[in-house]
Amino acid sequence: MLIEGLIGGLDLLIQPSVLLALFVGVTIGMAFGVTPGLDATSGTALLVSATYALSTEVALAVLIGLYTAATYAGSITAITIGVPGTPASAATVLDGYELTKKGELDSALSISITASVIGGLIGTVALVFLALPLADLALAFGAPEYFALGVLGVAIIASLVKGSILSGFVVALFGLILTTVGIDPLTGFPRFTFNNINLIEGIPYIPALVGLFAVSEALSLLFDDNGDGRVVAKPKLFAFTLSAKVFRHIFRVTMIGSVLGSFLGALPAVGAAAANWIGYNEAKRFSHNPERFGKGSYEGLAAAESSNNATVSSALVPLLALGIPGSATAAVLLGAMLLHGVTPGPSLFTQQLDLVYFIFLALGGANVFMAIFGVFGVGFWVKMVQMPKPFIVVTILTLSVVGSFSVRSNVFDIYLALGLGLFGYVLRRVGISVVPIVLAIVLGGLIEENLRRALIASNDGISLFLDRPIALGVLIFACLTFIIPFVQNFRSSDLDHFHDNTKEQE
Amino acid sequence: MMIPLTLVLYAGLAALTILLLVTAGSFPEALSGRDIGPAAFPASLAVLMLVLMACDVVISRRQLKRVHVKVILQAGSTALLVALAVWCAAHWGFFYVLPFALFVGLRLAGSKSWLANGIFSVVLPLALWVLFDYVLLIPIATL
Repeated sequence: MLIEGLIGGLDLLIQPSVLLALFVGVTIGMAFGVTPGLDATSGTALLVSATYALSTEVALAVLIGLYTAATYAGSITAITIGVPGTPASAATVLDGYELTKKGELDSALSISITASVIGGLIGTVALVFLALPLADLALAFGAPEYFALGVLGVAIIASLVKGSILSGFVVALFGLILTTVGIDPLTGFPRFTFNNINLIEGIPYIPALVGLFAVSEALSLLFDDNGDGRVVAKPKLFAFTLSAKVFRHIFRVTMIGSVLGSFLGALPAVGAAAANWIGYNEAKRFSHNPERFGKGSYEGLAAAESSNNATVSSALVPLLALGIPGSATAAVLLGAMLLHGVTPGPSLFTQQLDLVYFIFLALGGANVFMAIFGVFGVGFWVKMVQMPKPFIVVTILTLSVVGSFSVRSNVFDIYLALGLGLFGYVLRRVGISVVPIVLAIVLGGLIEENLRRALIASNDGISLFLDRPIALGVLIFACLTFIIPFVQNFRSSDLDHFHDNTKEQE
Repeated sequence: MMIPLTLVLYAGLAALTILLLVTAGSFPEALSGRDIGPAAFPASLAVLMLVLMACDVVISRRQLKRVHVKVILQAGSTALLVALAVWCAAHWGFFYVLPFALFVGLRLAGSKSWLANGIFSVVLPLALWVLFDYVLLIPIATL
């Protein structure tokens, strides 16, 4: 099956239009990644609607290229100006910018691209070997299991976001409520449409994604401090200077970071940003020179970069095998796949195996294009870091308007995107992530539909879950992801209150 | 003026949730005895959301973030200006309105160069027109 799938996938990949799309995706991803404040998620959200009229393979190639390159390109900004281009390159600043300050900018950029490509390729291999058995296992899943997995997906994301655990769940629930707008799938009754014909089909998820990620990001760039006015270090156009000695020096930590990133990426909600820090810390523990970390260490930079790029591919494990996105970008990719009539999950592996392998190979191909850009044209991308903010903001807002409109040719969708964008900006200002609401919007339909289908098919009512051990186990785990952090949060708040009172009494 | 934005946000969400709960009360019953009907799922989510918001306000009352009202008004005004440009575009034509909207937008966003603003305001709509209407075959000129 592996060879057969690989041949089928390769057949799809080597079409000139697909390779060109992958190249274009990588180019756009580089531009998004190097721009401080923008990342792979806002980039894919903006581009999904533009891929609407393209064939499935071409559309996926563009989005995969963008996703892969944007995660890497954040490191260029981190190394050259000391501001992470994306959250996934926050740990890269520690050693990358230190190397730049020491006058080793070209070495830092060379290490970054090498570690990123190795991490990306190892992550892709991990995706192949993790997704296939998981999809086999998921073939036995029915409506109760999918309901439980949907709940778990939302619960994990909501519990791991920054800020108060409860606020994560509040916005996730709000996202779930938004998915109930429109025709009820089982009775055909229009819910919460308030006689507005534009809401009959529900809240369209592309304008919702564009609003929550891109519009809110543009507003944030406009009104928040994003590290403007920093001096940008300039590398040579051909800046690749990695010697065999340095490569041998970083090889061990690059492998540690890559394997760790591959594992962490496959876990829902962990993502590239967390992997960037965890990979960095673990590499420090295993390094022969831990004291150099944070002072311009080659190993520190390699570990941070290999771990975040390894998550790019492995984050697609739950999406492809179960149809449940494990990260914000995976949620946007799910939206793109559904837009093109592709439903991820175990049936994808039986019905469209070629497409699955095409995705595996496209991820590998994107790393190859990324390497070319990283080796030959990094000087050009550093110039992008200096692009004036007003032009970036206005471009994002224009693309958001066009992107929201283009899927249904409906002006209402633009107003919806702007409204949700403002809502997303308010959430950001109070420190609440928009990721749970997006995931809830993408998974809400699946959760309600499978719950009701499971109940209709069973005579036992809600106790049907007692006879389904996998679904029950997943639901218990979902409850624990809420209860444990909630209790910890409550305790720490109680402790703070106790300390406050003690201080007042003193 | 600083406002407790989390509280304002939660108050707005609570009002909306209560409106949805009231609306859900008028939904029809389930067609089958085994189904929970169209109202039960959103209504239970709404109740849970109200409970969690109340808990969050009580638990994190000392950490509620205060934000300057000016920032929110600025963001709101920006969204309104974009919405106004979209309204104009829907009435007079996207590619007639977009260059002017971009030029004004760039100026308001802080770009001082008339020449750069002018060139950008012409080039971006042209690029979008060619890309969407001719390459991607998505007719955005109809907006």
